[in-house]
Amino acid sequence: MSLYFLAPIALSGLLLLPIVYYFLKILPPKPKRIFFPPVSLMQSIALVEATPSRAPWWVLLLRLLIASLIITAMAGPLWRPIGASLDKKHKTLIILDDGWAAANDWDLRIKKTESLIHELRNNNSPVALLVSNEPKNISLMEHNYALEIIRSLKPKSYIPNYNELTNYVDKFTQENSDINIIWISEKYGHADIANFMTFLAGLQNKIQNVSVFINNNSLITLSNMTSSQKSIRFKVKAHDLDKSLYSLVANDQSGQTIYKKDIMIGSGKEEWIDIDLPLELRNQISVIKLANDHSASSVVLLDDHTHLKRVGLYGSMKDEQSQPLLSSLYYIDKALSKLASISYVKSGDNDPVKTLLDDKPSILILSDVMLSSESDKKNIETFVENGGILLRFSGPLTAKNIDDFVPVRLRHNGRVLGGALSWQTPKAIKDFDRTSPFFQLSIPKDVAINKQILAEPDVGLNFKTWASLDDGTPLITANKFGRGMIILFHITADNSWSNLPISGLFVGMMERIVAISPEIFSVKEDEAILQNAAQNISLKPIKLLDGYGDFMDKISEAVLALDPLANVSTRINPAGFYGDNFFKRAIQPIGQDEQIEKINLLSKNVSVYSLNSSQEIDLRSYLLIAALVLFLIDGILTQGLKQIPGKKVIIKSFTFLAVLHLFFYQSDVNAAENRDVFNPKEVQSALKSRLAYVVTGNTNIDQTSQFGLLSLSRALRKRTSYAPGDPIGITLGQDDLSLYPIIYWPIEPDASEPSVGAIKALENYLNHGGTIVFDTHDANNHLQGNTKSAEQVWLEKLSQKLPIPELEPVPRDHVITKTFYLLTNFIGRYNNGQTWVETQVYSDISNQDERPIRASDSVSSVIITSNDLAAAWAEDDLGQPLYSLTSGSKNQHEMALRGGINLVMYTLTGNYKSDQVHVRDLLERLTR
Amino acid sequence: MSRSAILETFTIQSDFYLPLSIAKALDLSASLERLLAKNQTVSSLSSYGLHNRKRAGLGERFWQYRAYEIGEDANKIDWRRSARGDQLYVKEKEFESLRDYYIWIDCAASMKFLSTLGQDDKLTRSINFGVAIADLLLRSGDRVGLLGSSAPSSSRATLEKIVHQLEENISNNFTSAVPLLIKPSKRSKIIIISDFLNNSVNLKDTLKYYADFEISGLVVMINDPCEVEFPFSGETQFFSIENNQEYYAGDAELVAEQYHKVFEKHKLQIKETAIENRFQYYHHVTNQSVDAAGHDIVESLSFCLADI
Repeated sequence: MSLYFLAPIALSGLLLLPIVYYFLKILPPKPKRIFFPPVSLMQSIALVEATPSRAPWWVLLLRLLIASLIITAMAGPLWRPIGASLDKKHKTLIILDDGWAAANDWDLRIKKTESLIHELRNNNSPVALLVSNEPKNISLMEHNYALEIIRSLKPKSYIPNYNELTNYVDKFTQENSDINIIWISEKYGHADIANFMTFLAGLQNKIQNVSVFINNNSLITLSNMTSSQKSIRFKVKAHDLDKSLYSLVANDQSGQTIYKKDIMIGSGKEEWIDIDLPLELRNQISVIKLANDHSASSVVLLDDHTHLKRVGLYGSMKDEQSQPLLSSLYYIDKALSKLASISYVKSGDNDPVKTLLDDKPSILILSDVMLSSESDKKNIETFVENGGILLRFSGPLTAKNIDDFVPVRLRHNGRVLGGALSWQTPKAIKDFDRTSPFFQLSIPKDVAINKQILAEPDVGLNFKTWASLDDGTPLITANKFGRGMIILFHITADNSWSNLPISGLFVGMMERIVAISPEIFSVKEDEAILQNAAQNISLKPIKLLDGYGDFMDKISEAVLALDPLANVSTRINPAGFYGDNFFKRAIQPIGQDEQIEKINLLSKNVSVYSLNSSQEIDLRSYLLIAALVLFLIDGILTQGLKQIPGKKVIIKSFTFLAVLHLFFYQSDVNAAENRDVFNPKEVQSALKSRLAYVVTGNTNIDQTSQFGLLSLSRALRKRTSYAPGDPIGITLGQDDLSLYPIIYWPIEPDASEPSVGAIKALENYLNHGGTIVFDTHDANNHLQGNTKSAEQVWLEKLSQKLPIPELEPVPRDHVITKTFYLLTNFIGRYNNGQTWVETQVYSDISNQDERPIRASDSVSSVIITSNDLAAAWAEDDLGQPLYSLTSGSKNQHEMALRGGINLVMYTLTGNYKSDQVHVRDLLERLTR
Repeated sequence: MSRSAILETFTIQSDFYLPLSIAKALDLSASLERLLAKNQTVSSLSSYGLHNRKRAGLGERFWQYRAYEIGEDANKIDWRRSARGDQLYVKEKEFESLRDYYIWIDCAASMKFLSTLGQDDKLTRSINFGVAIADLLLRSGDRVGLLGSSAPSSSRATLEKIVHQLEENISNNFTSAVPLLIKPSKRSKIIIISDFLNNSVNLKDTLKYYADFEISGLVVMINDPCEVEFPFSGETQFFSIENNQEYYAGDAELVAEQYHKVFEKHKLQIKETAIENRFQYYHHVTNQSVDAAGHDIVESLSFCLADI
């Protein structure tokens, strides 16, 4: 039977129909009552047709039909329901699979399970629930509790261990008799999914019935990712999928898309996909996934193994913090930063070489380091013999003390070319040999070597030479040492001996060297090392995937530190990133060569249902709509009947239809309008750049802001190349802030705090390069000796919610004092207030790989003043200040305007102006 | 001055509809006066006392001395004046023809009935007409009173008094038969405004009583268009408040024809009663224009003055 009722008992309501019929017939509708003064006259009129007009038979029929439709709808009819034939009298065990294979149609599964439990509750039959990825002893539970569990479930990034489930189910079936088992299955799994099916089928003798719900969905898996010199490569396999287009997306750590490609999947075979990108970009990739497939199975994670070579960097110490440009490590660091992950030695480390080697680098770079201690030598020897690359740079120290770890024999002391006491000019580099790894790198003409360490002209020196000077003396030499290699630059890594380190060629050389460096861990060794490491450090979960292939916000406590041997996503170690800031390891949702199989449904003892919703039709809404339509027809007809069907009825029903039509049409039109409506204010501002101020609600302040900015805009137009439109007042939380480069915000202490939405918008604005000028206009308050004005308190409260950076009073040499006029301070109506800007941060090298987002172009995102700038800017048509200024000097208005111009220029030009400061020096240097 | 005073008092008291209808009534009377001044109607009304003061005739007030003409009755000579000189003088008095006007407006609840077809309810219209007539008469020096409520007077405060009285009657839903004055003066005229749907207004007896005193006047019958046309259909229960009567019609449309007959008969009866007793009759339906009706009513009124 394909029609099924969820609540068949409601059908008994049909028995009431005769009673409805009776009442409809007996009780006519009440007549209209009309107040009519001449009633007394009418008493003489004989009663005409005193009996009420009975509803005609077909009206009765219509109404009975409406009643029966509603009753039937209440019984919850389903057409071709899923699993309707299930026996629901017995205890029922529901097994719900929640692995990644269930993610694609998860909502459907939850809906179906919920409706099953609802039905079981209606039938008063006990229920037990087993969630496949949370196996535990099965017991009967409250229906509501089961519903709660189900609603809180999310698909996981691993697939169930069915062997484990078998045990629990087995135990349950032994404890209980007379049970039904409903398995809402994932269809795909490891080999044990087939076993589980066989096991369930085998239970047939002990239990009542086994039903399996399966959705006929497809599955795409990405696996076996490898990273080679050329590309990132992985396997795509589609199960049960016709050819369809998917979009492959590679994201970096912060979730920004680096690479996107549409690919055709579903030819039936395994396919290999290559992502061919420049190394710098590839190294940033953290996740590769199919954008339109919401399952963890189509996600590949890239960890440090696939990313970067590890490089240990150690050089003779100089004052690196204060003068980074003179440090030899600075240039190596710059050249390598995009190619490798660099480990440093902390100052004060007693045994730097060992510390670096403990990090297991592929390359150890020593810049002018004298290897004196025996242990260092030994460590390096093992390192290189095991396949590491030792890259050394010469320098004054190494020139004097030559040790064994050099590729060629060297002469003591360097050779100086082109110095004051030398006849020779600086030498250029000779084109690279075919045998050199640097072959085909182009050599800039201006690279010149002033000083080098010479090699003894031994036999075979040529073969060891990777680069040489014009005169044939070696510049870079290399020699195999054990399984590894020692490379020597005969120059320093800074620009004291040559300008090679500041040329692009240097970067190219480093790139080649990194490229030839081996993965120092071969797979076998890697495991051993990690095993050792696990005893000391644990790889804690950093970011984990859920079943949809997205990163979860929270990491459940059940997740343990990574088992070093784990390579498959499991309950204990779900797919995701593990490690710390220095080392990351990824567990893939689908491990290397993990076999995914399809369930075998051929067992006779199991009834199989499809989960696909297209088959099940809930008739409730259709019935109710039909009832509503009949009800309308009834209304129209009974209205019409009284007037003898004719023109009026037709007119009325058409009016009704027209009104209905209008209603729908109107809503369409509204929707259409809503789509295209732009705030005219925003359109204006988008078309013409302009200054903006925050509307505080205090008319005085707002007016001042308007006048002030108007005058400032005028001055800007007159004096600078920036021609702003008329200033505009913006309401926080309503207007789009992104259209304004600078926003002037006079603080009104009586104003309510900005809403959460407004705060968010402000935060966004500040983080993406916007500048807000807060004006507490309370400087004269300070004069009176008050410590904290209401404005300040208000601003402080606000600043706790906003990402306001550290501030300092404007330093004398700050670029804001030089952007247009040369100023000492920013005066407004008062001239005693301090102006605060963001503290300048001098970036240091070690933060580089965090890639901090500095959208602000080193413009202070917040400027705070108390001088009431707008009041001082405001002028009338004749250029006279509108407000009285404290010092009263004529100069003050002009100086305030200059300050305003500087402010605007500062926000608009960013660090360009600060670079301009050096222009003269640069020009001088060029002409020299 | 008195007009605006009235308006103010009523605006302040803000009765249900009086202020508006009084204002309208005053407008109406003003427009009627203008109309009367233009038309011949003026002469017909004035000759019967409305514009009477500017000539010599029978009366009480002094009008003028004039020279005695030979042949005149010697009794007419005013000796006191004539003794002062050589000439004989005759003292003339101003012509006066004072008349009492009584206005009666039905204030029953049924008068407040307004259907969607009408412009105003019947009571509003009645007040429009009643007060407009009173104003018009007072300004031509006649004495006007509200029948059964106030004695006729020509003083300035009369109009105000009448309006106050009306207001009281309306707020009390005053229903009674037309009051019968015990000893009405023969010169009196009576103006009755009602829908005549209330059983308590026994027009026949009333008019007969006054006709015996040789008193005539004007009967204005006011109806809502709905009461005339009977535009109902469907199953309907009709009811009225004051008579506490109900009428059930299985289908009102079928009753319509009979109703028309009954109503016409009733109307005719009122008209005949009025004419029999030498009263003028005027029928007004509230969807007609107020101004036109006001003009017609004044004309009817002048006819009723004519037949003394």
